[in-house]
Amino acid sequence: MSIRRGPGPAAIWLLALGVLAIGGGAVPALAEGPRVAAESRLERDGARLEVREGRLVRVAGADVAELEALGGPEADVVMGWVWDLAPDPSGLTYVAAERGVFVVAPGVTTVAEVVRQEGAPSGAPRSVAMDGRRRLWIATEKGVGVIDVNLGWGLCLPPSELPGPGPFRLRTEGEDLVVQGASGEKRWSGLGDPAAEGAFDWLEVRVNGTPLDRAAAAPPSLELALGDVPIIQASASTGAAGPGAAGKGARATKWIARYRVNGHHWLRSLDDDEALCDLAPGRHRLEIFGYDGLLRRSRPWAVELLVRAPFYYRKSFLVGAVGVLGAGILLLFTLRARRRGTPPARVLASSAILGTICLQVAAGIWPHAKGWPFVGYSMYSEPFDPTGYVHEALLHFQDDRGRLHSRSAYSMGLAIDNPWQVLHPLIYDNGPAVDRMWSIMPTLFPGKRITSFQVVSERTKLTTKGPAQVPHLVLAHFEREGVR
Amino acid sequence: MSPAPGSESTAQASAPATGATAVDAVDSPRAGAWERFWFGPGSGVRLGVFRIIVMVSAYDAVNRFQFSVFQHASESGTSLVQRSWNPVFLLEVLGVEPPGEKTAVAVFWILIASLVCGMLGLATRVATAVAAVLFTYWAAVHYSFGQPHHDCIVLTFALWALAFAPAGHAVSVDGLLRRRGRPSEGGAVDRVPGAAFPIRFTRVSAAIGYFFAGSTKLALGGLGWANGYTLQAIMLGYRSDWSATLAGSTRLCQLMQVGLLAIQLAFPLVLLPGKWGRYARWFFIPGAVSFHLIAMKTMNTGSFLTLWFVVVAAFVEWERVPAFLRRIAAQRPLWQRAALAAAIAAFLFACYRVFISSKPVQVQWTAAALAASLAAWAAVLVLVAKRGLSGCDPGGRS
Repeated sequence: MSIRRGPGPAAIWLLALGVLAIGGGAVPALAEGPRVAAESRLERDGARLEVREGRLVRVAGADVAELEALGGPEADVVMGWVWDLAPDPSGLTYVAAERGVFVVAPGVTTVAEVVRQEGAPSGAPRSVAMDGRRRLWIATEKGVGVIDVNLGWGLCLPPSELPGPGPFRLRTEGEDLVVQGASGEKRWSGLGDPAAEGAFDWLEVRVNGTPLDRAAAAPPSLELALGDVPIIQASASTGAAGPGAAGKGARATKWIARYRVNGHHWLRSLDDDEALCDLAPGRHRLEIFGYDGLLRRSRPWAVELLVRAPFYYRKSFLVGAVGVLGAGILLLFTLRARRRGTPPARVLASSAILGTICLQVAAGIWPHAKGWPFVGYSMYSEPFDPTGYVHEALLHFQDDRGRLHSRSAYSMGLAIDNPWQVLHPLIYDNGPAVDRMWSIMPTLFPGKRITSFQVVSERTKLTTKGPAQVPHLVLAHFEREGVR
Repeated sequence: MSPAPGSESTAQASAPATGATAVDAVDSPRAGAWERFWFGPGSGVRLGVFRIIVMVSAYDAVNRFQFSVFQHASESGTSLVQRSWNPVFLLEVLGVEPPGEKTAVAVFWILIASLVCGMLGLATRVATAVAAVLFTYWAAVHYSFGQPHHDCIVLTFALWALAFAPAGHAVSVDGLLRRRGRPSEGGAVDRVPGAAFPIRFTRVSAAIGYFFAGSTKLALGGLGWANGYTLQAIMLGYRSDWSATLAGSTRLCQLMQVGLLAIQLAFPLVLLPGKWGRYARWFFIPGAVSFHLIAMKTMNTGSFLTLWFVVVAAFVEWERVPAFLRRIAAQRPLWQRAALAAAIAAFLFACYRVFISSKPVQVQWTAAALAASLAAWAAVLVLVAKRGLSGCDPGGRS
């Protein structure tokens, strides 16, 4: 079955009149009339995504259901005219539509917007394509760029690198990206070249003025006072090995750097110091990644941050305070015992009881996890409102019969108190952790052959009309043959 | 009056005691309310049952925590799970490092042995002391590899309190051995010096815990915490069997949040003496247990067995259970007894279907073994109470 892509007749007439009105002699080939796509998008369980009259529909047998976007709490976001679909090997489908880029998940009836963050191409999307490393390329009326599909930030190709003026259409052919523009096609190769990830010699990273060396055996350590915010600086050298040399087959003239703290999967902009403002006392690992113009990631520059505890969290103060408290209580009971003739053992026992109760109350007033068993009760105290998403981190496994098995790290007996303890290594340090996961697969799924698995974040949107499931994020996707 | 939840009175100074000088000192007019409350006599049977349930709860926690401790001790799981040693203050102050594999194995088996001995009431003094020390170490190591939680706080304090009490006086092998060959003491009153302390200390710890669990929500989240969306988000972020159904209604979630805050904030009322305290216990103990049971089905945040088992153990007057059952059996007509038995059976079957049947077969067998051991101990309890082998009158109040 074919898909008809493109604007309706009225829009075509308006577009043609507009072009004539501005005196353009040649109508860009890509804007000419409705396009007919060569294929539709097959989802799981036999369902199929199709674009009909600019609308996205899911066809399952005789049932045809239109998919729409779920937006803010009061008003739904509409996709508008749907231009293009890009399949993701994880099973998701990305949609270039009049009002933005959207994502569709099998079995989910709503469509979520991929919010484009800093660096991403602006303007109305006309075409999307996903490369072998799950980077999403977006062509808009203003240019072409690539984004991280989960976090939305990205980089744009410079106009000088594009095949003439837009609009552009994108497609991927193996490891290559092909951009089709008004003056022909341009091809970028080597997008999946892992060798590029080891480069970035042209990038220099400093934290609080200390240059970081990726080749060092152990990361340097920086001491900070509580509340100090480390300053991260990343700069490209201007010599021959400048950023322009980072790309292979393309001259990537832009780069960015992002950071994460304690292995979190959320990579932040260097301008966003939210994760650095409230570092708790203790050791933290700060990692900075560089990205070239094709969004290829470097190995991290790492530094260990040692945040000094304030005096009231220091061992000496705490031990001293508990000692003073104990001595005070002991004195109180000793004086009381003189009047009542209480035996010394009971004075000690009374002091221990009252001291323990005082510490329990103090922990309730000033909760601090490290004080266990005087730990306080601050979990689940954050209020939610009907604007946010609820995330649930899960592992999805697909067997050779195409069946999906969804498991939490808890239910698999892998995590005790935080699923990310298991999921982070899979997402970012995927060598040993992924091998280990494949090795325990026969134990986890006896009698089944698992062909791929994913780290996903299931999302539910809280709305005034009730919670609504929206397409999940696929944070990492692994197949038997390799890693994506 | 039925035996649960507890109606322990602090004004028992004039009741006959079983001959210990400590009781005399506590009961003397010069002793204050503080001494009478903490060091007064209590029911040995109640303490014995409390000891068993605390040990079973500790066994559950030790079993659950072994994954994280062994994983890091043996390096077997480090490629899959990323955690670092961030010791809690207790271990940091004591300079304790993460255990190696041999240490972890040794601690684990000594701890299990002490918990089993504590459960049986065999060498109870030593067993409860070893269990308190090693359990605290085991849990602290577990939390030092991850995130400290509050599900074992009350349990930890209960274990420490048991170590300083005559926990093996009744419902124990120690008790049976001590009384072997002696004539029946069926007429004695069930009042053991120092037996009230662990139960009362656990009650106070539980009250502090529930109160601050509620007040912290208000302090950090404000009144807006109870807007319905918060509970929806927690349920959907930690999905369990009933999450989707109950989280579908914001109003229902808001109602549940308000109810939860009310129970947590007002829980300390269970410590009130007299009839108001009794009324409060009849409301708040079932309320807290219901909250935990519902939470098990609506959010995958853990069973909290180690909390509510201990809370129930501390607030039920176990020594009065046999007399209560006998009274029902003797005074009610047959159809009422049959109806009660059917209701209990239906309740147990519903609990099995809701909480256990969907679990892996190992969990089902573990639950069956625990239930069987508890039933066996209940039978022993009834027998002991009936024959007066506990050295006390089961009807005696503490």
